[in-house]
Amino acid sequence: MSSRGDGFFPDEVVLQILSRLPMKSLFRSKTVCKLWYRLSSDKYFVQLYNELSVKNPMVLVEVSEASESKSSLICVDNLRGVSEFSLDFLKDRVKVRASCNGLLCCSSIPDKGVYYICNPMTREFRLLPRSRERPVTRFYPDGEAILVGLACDLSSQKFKVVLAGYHRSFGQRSDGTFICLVFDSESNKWRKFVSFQDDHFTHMNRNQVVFVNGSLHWLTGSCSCILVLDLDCDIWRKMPLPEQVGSVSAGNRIYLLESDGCLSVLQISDAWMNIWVLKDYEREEWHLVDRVSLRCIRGLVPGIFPISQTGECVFLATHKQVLVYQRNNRVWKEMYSVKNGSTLPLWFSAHAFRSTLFTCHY
Amino acid sequence: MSSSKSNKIVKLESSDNKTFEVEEAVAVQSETLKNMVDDGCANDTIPLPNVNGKILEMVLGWCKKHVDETVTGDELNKYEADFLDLDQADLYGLLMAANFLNVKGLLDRVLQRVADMIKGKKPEEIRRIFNIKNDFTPEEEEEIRLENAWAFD
Repeated sequence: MSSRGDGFFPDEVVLQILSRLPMKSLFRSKTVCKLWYRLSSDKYFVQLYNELSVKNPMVLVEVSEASESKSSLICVDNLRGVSEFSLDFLKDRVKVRASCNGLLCCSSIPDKGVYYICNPMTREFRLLPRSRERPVTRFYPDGEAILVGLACDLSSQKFKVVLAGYHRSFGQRSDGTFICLVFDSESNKWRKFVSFQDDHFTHMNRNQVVFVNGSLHWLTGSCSCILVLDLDCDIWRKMPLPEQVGSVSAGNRIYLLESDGCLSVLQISDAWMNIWVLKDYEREEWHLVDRVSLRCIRGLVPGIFPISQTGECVFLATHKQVLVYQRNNRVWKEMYSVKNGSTLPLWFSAHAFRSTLFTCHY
Repeated sequence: MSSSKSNKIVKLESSDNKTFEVEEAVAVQSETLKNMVDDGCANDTIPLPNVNGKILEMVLGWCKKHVDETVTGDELNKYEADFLDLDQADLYGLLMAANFLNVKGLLDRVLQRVADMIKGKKPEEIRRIFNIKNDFTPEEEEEIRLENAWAFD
């Protein structure tokens, strides 16, 4: 309200200041005055906040320390370092299954088939209705969906959840049918469709699902191609990897990440990390955007996994550490290190994340 | 920065009637001034009634540093960090000037600096910093606090 006189900022300036606050400070600022309360809920502001957050890549990790029976969740990013956060507001013991544009998809540990969508920063959550379909607990082999994907469209604030896996009839082995359940936030309903797949997925491949261009993307277990689910028409298809990636072996591993809204493939060999970005999605043209020397972290290379990135930096996790590589000045930095022996490697439960004002309410 | 180096000088006058002369390449770091130059309105002295001499000098100093090709990346980083070591009144003046003149890099830095000042502070402290009157009733304020209790612990 510039009508308040000199010394007060115009609305646009207040919006720009508020959009640079971390979530907790932003929520506190809602009680400063009515104008700030109104501005921080404004649709334009939400868009502004989310756009800025895209530039701040984060890593969420579940840390299970050997000395404690409980596991804790931490969030690592360039601006604020390491902070703890909790999903206690869900009032359930959960496992994080997917992360997209500020929302997390979590499955209940005690209650199989129960899924939550939540924004861990704003503490909003939504319990998804149970699917009437048996496959939610009849997936093969573990009774759990092999692939869990979360597709969050920032501009419309709508999301979809995908649970996909092989199905087996009661008492029988898998018949190769690939069941796909899709939850639509707009209709608040699940729908199901069936296809045939012959791919398998490693744990890492399952965790690294990328939502760009209206589709979800997974790397197949054999790392021979990218499996794509087009959510507009419920069709699975395959997409080729960069030609130069070559065949995967112990000394040559590849990972699928997002980079500033584009698909990106990272290839790690003994001494180098190559980064490809799919700049032209329609033409499926990959560009090699960087070749990073791994000399500085040579000892860590066999157990290092990239988790999250932008054009400016790459976050990686090992068994006990989270590292960040700044691409402009080629500097490696340790952001987090487990104090005592950890029971599970950090990369096992690490997800790319960003802090947004995405709302999951119906 | 223009590929053909123009030797044009741009003349600016602050609210307190101080005049500054800078090369066009320096002036166009400001999107506002760049638009004026592109529209051919920069031939006479440009009056800037909402920016005082002290602040304008600072802004132009920033712009000069950013077109100086002899400055290294590290030097620039240090310059930018030291630049914002200002008292509150100057910081606000700088914010308003950077916003009006639309000097992108500077505006971004100042906005972040002001945001950092608010981070972690209680609402009463924020009101004091910005000289904002609390127009909530105690009941209204309490309601918002309860809605978002986790933010106030």
